Amino acid sequence: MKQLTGENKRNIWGYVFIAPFFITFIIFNLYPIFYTFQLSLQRWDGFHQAQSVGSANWKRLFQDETFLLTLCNTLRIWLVDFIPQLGTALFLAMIFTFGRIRGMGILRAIYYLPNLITAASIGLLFNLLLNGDKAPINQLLTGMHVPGAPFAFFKNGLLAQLIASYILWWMWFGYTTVIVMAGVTSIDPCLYEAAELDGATKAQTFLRITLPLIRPTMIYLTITSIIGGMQIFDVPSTLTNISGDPQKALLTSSMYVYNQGFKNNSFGYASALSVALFLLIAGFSFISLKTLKKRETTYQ
Amino acid sequence: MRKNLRITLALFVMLTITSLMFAAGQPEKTTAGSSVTTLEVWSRGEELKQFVPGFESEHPTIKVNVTVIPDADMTPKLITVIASGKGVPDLFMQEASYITYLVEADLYTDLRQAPFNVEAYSNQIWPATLSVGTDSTGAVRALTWQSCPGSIIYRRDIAQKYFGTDEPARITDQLSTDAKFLTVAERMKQDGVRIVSSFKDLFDMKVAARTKPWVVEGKLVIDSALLAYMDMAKNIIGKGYDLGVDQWTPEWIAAVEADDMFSYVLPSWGYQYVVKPGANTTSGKWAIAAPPVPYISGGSYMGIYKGTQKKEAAWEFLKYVTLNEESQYAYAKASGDYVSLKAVNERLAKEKGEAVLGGQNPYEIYNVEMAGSFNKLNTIYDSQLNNAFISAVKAYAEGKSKEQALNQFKADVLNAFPEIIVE
Repeated sequence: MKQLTGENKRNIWGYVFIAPFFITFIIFNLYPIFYTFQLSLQRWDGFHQAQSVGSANWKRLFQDETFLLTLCNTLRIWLVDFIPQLGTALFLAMIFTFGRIRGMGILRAIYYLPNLITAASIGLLFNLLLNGDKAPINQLLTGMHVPGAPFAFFKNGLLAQLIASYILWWMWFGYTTVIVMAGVTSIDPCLYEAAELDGATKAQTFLRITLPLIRPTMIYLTITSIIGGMQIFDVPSTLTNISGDPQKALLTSSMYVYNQGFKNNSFGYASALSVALFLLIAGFSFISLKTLKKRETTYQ
Repeated sequence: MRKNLRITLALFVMLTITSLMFAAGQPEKTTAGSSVTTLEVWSRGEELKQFVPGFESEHPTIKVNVTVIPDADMTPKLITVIASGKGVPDLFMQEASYITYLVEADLYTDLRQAPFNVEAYSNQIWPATLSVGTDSTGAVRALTWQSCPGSIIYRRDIAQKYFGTDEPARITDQLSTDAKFLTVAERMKQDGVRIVSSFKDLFDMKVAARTKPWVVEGKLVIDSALLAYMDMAKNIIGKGYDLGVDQWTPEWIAAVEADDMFSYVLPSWGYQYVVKPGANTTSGKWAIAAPPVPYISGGSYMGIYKGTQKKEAAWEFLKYVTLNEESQYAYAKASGDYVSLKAVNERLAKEKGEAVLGGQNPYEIYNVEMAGSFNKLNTIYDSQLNNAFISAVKAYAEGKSKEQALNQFKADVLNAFPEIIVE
């Protein structure tokens, strides 16, 4: 065996250390992904033999209005959650970095706490708080003699979506704040000093210096949020007991895939839906990346 | 020397991590040469475990291992084990509205064949209960230890106030038509009393009042009983005649102790699982009346997996649970459940009544009801179609027109099962 030189020796160890991840990834992620592609061309209910149906599932998908509805629902819930999330995160990051607030570290930790609770528990919690005439929130409002109480929070589709967006915002704004703060603190303070000397206002500093320089952070946040947002499942499903009521307002794309697969036993069609979702998410991420990256190069 | 130590340590850590990933789930090694057969049973609830001690004492060479799996996970788990061929349970269970799919999917052994010969027992079981576990070719695939006749579980004191009597037969008469029901509901609402716990209670009753099942010869059939139910539900939801929450939510369960709700319209399991355990201050104030239209709804059905190697042992356990009078009697005494064997129910009807029901014996009422005739209405599409219909009912109650709601229902049906013909 050829004697390994110092550099080759180091390279071998690199491969050895990344091997466990890749072995697991190939077995538990890559193979199932390819199997899903294959399953999308078949009809299978789990118990009987799988039959090949060619592109029938895909034809059905393109005519499926419910799928379109779920995509709209998902996008709406995600956007109403994400934009305030970014806004809050930027606002809080600026205050924490430049303001002199006592207990900043503790506040930051408290804001991050909702992210540590599992989404299913939070969905269940809000369901118990809001569902029914005698639910705690309704009892509070009735006690305060608010006109119109008790409210049926989950009767109106739009209101239900707003609640879902609010829950997601509450869960994630702490995490987003922490990431944005990391980006903001990495900006060289000399730039701010120079701007102050030149007589820039706080707003101008923020818009012309801070925002452009945290662009990489924003790209990361946007893309990961798209990927997570298009797959929202746990909060809407625990809020509505996987039914997506009222009137499918809370039926998200992932819930629809789950229903088709595990309730209707149509694994072939559910696979086709998953592949379509995958392509959509990949497409959206790619577009965001290209749009946001275009102007980044001028600041490098 | 230090470099070698580091390399060894790194290798050891990596090996540990990799092996941990594959370590979980190794099957236990059974002692070689043991003559004890172990049965794997997948149950959807804890009740089945009540049968195990009695069975194991009668059959010392058979051990029963019961795993409880929630409804929603049962079918996916079954699919996984059957596809892999490893770890398939010898017996598995499902709820009545899902069982038809499993029964028709040819996963259970046909119990009419030898060595089971279940037909020798057929006349001991209530026919309606037996038919749910029978597939469309007449093969008996799944059996149960429960029967679930419907009933109106109502409050005696509230009945006295509004009807001047708390006698079950009179209550049934007062609520015997939709019109009568709604009139009473309005009277009660004036005083803030809800007549029923949920509009969905009545759905199970109306679903069983149909003359045709959901799908006949591949075509969707919306029975007129259900169209009438839509109007009933719209009234109940719109005018606040029910609690306004879904079944099985904490508020719905807690209404057993409330003073502003008149009744739960539920099958026998409703008494056993909701009213009886929850009635503390209201114990003695409840009673059971027969529903205007007899119906059965729910229940847990169990069968023997077609590919099991332990057919005889599995049949012994299934027989003990579903066809053995002594074991069912003991179970009913302990749990208050209404069972599937006629003789046991008749014996229990002669015994003391229930304290929660003010001394009434529920078995008397249920026996009369089960002796009636019921249509065989279950299909493999039931659970999904029932849910889709409730969705349409809610839409109608919230302001959509009946036609829009029905169109939504039809679209949902096609979406879930494109093979059904919808007109």
